[in-house]
Amino acid sequence: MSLPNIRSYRIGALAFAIILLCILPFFARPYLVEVAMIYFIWMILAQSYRLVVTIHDWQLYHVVLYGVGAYTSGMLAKNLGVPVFAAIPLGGAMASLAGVAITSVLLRTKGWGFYIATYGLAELIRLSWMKFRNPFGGSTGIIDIPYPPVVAGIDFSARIPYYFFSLGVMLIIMYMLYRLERSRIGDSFKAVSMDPLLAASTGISIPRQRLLACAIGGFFAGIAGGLLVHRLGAVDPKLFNITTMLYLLIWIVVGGTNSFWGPVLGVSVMYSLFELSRPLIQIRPMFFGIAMILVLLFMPGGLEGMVAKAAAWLRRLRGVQTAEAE
Amino acid sequence: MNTQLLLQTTANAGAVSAMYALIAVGLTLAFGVMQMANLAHGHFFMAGAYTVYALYALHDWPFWFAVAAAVGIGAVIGLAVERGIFRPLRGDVVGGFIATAGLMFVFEVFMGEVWGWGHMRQVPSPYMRAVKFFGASVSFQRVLVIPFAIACIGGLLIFMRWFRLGRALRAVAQDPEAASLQGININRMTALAMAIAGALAGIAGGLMSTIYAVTPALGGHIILPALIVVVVGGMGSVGGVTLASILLGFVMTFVTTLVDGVTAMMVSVAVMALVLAIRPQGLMGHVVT
Amino acid sequence: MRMKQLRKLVVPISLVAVMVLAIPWAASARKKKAPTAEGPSQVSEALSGLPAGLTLDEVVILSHLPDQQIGVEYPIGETINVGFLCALSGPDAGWGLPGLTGNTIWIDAVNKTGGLLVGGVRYPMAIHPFDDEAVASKALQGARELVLEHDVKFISAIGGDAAKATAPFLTENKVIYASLVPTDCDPSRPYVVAGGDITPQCNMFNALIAKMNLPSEEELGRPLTYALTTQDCIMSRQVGAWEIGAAKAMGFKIVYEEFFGVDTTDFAPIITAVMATKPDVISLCEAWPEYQTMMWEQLFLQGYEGVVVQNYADWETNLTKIPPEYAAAQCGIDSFPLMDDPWWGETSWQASFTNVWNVRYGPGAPEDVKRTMTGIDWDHMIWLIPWSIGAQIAGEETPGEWPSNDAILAALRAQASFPTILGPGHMSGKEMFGIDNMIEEPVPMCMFDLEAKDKRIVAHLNFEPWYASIKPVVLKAVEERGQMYYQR
Repeated sequence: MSLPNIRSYRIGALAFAIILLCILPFFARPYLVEVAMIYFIWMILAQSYRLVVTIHDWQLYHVVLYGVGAYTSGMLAKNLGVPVFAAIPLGGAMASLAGVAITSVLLRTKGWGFYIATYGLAELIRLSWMKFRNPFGGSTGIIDIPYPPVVAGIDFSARIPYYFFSLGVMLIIMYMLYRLERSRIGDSFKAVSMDPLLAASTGISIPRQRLLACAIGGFFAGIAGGLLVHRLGAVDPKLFNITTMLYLLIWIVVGGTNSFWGPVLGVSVMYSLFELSRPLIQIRPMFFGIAMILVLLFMPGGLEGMVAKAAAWLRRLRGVQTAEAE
Repeated sequence: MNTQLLLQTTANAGAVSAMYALIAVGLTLAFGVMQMANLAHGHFFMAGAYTVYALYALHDWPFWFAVAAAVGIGAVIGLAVERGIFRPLRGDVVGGFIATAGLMFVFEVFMGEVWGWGHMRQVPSPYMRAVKFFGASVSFQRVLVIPFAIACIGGLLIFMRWFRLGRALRAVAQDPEAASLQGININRMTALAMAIAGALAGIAGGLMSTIYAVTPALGGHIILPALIVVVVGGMGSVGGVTLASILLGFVMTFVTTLVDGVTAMMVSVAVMALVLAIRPQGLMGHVVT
Repeated sequence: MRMKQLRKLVVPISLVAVMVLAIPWAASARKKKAPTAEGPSQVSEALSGLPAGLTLDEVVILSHLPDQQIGVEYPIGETINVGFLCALSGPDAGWGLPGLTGNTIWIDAVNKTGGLLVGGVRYPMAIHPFDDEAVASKALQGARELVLEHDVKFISAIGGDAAKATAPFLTENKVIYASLVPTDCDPSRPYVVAGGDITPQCNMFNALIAKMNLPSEEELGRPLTYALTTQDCIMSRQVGAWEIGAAKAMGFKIVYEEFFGVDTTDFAPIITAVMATKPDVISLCEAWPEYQTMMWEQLFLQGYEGVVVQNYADWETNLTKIPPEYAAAQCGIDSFPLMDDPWWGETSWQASFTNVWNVRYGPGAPEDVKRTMTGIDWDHMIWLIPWSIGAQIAGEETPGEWPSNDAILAALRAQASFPTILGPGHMSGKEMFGIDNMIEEPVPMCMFDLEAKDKRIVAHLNFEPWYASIKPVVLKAVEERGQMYYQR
């Protein structure tokens, strides 16, 4: 009885949120609109990372894939004149390839070695952006990256059209990931994440599932990079360093990775706090570091785990009441 | 490359190797005993450097007293982190490293808020001269690290071989279950390991506070070479650290001199990735079950 | 059973609640901590008509303004916001963070009189800092925030990569970006202005002053050699090209010209490589403040015995790593003089600035910055003040309205000369950079002085006549390196 209720609450909340997001740019300050676009990018990153985390492991190169997508899309658009709307998916494809390449090299590495190796390989890519001034612009990066053109009378280099563009991309990606979870591929992903040995014994090829997850996750991360770079008009290696990766980890850990909604909660709550605490920018990292540690120690299910517990508690309360009433 | 350049670069490399060894040995010990890499190790190092800055540069303590204080503070920090983070999260590999990552943020902000963010903190060199041999000259401050590195590594090896507590540490590193069956208190051993690791980081940071720029970003800079050394040498192997730090020191210095710093970093990281892909236990490490 | 579950939820819920409440509360608490320093009032009786709290020294500082009419009341207008978009942390912070003190001194002095008098209205000013960590993307973010959130009209900055990245956005919004380095000026960037740094002029003069401190070619029987090593950033590449041009014009043979990565932490191999070419002069060019300290350390340890020149030396930090005798022996030539240099005289604008600075930021002061005054504390004022001057002049055409930046720049260009911290200045730069967006003023050159244990001005030179004599060689060298404004 209570289950459909929760589902309809969820759908209602979602619809409300989407409507809110659609009218936001018309009455919010321009700066807030920019912040919202970055929020969409983080959401894409978080959801794509969750996919990889649940199937494979907590790799540390996800943010660099975001960078690969950014650099690829930017360079294609700037140097080769590729139209922006085509460059972005190409950036995603490149990021996907990079993710698959790194993962396949490290398929046999486990445990600590795996984490450090992913960090190392990610740094290698980032260092090559810093070293090779010629295509990549070195440590100062690339600027004068083209904005999207005018399409059907709408100028996508302006703030509001680009806002809707990135909102649209985010919703599409979220929907795709949502459907993926409920599809057959999603089923085999779930099997691999819950019990790899059992899954392997039913004929599912673990390495192939992992590579597939990395490919999909990498692709979306790359798209996020493309979205970023054509709004900023510039890119540089510092954007994709370990600090950014750590923040992504914080959003995910605090949100929880159990269900699809974990990252949504995590990014929404933590990124809002992140922007609200801008006046405190010096000590902000400390708040987030402490928050992450406390969540790890006391709230391992993350925010979504807490919401689930609260919902279960409420349900039980109501159940007990109805039982008492009877 | 002429002889003079070769000699000078070799001298530079030797000093750097000792520095890396001293920095990395605490990290590998902690890893060996707890099976968890302490990503905040670089920040322990930074805490040692800031201790010397605060006591020696700001309050005029004698230099060596300040370094001794850095050792103490490092040990205390190590104990606190073990008790607060590593013990509750034991066995949770992911949680452990994410928590230490969070710790990195906390340390950075603390240092920045208390002592300022902008400029590097000035720690005057107590020994402002160079050691010259065969035409090469190296700062005395750097040369000073070599006997300390040797003493610490040697001391650690002796401790782990000839002393009961040290052997208990090794037992826990090799097989925690068997060790606890033998009556060894795992909690006490992990606390000891982290205390030693923190102390080693403290002395490294204190000694090198005059060599590196003391800023809140120092911890983040230091952890990558330390990780590379530990991984290449073998996580948990003190002998491996010695070997790997020499290897890394020479690679970094020679490549930086001949090409540039970024390439040197890339080569080092590539070496680490190669080792991880081919021989994940490192040069002298044991296969982890 | 219910209680136990309730208790299990209490911890996480309270954690989240604390986080959500603590952050905005702490944010608002921090904002209230805005500094207001009041120095001892040194107003003499004759000037007792001055606004409360305004000291004599501040009056001197404000004297650059043509028409501030201190003490006369005018209606108060809206607050004019200016931005401070620099590296406030990291190795480049040495060129950003100290500048906040000078700008704040200026703005507070202006505000004590009620505001900048423009077109019959007094406009109070406010400054908004943003740390761009010398990174282009952060600078863009900062520019966006400063313009969209705080409506700034003028941004003080360091320049280089950040100038390039923010130029399109700021040009669109007609916000002036005051870089320190004229090499950022470009006809396609009408609102990027510079000159405070008197770079590359001071770098070019380095070659001249170095030559004056070396034996001549005839005495040595060989040409003098020049080496340049600095970090790889846009500013270094641009300025380096001009400096090499000047060195060549002075007859130096260039034996080393390399740029190391901005992430370098170990300078031993770099100095080794430079010294291997046996140069008579080593130029650290635009080496960031943190780096030049480590490079001086290595030069000392590896026993370099030639002349060392650079754009900016921070002797307080450097002398913690090298003995002053070494600095003096190697000349330690740079620019960015100190405001308490006896060269300026006991009563001067510079002396007044020094007094105000010490009262507010010196040892024991309410906002003690725990360091001595550097050549950067005043460096960002060098455009803030002329902008204020230009606003006053342009404001006469549009009374009651704050003039546009186009009008302000036009007003400045129309002046034959206006006061700057380093002497009389005028707008210039068409030939070198394609647009008259640079303030040209006399260039003070410094050397390390053993007795003072700090830098002291040794010459205060006019750039344009000297440049006219060496132009062909210089322009050729800059063009060869692809650094002319029409090549970038």
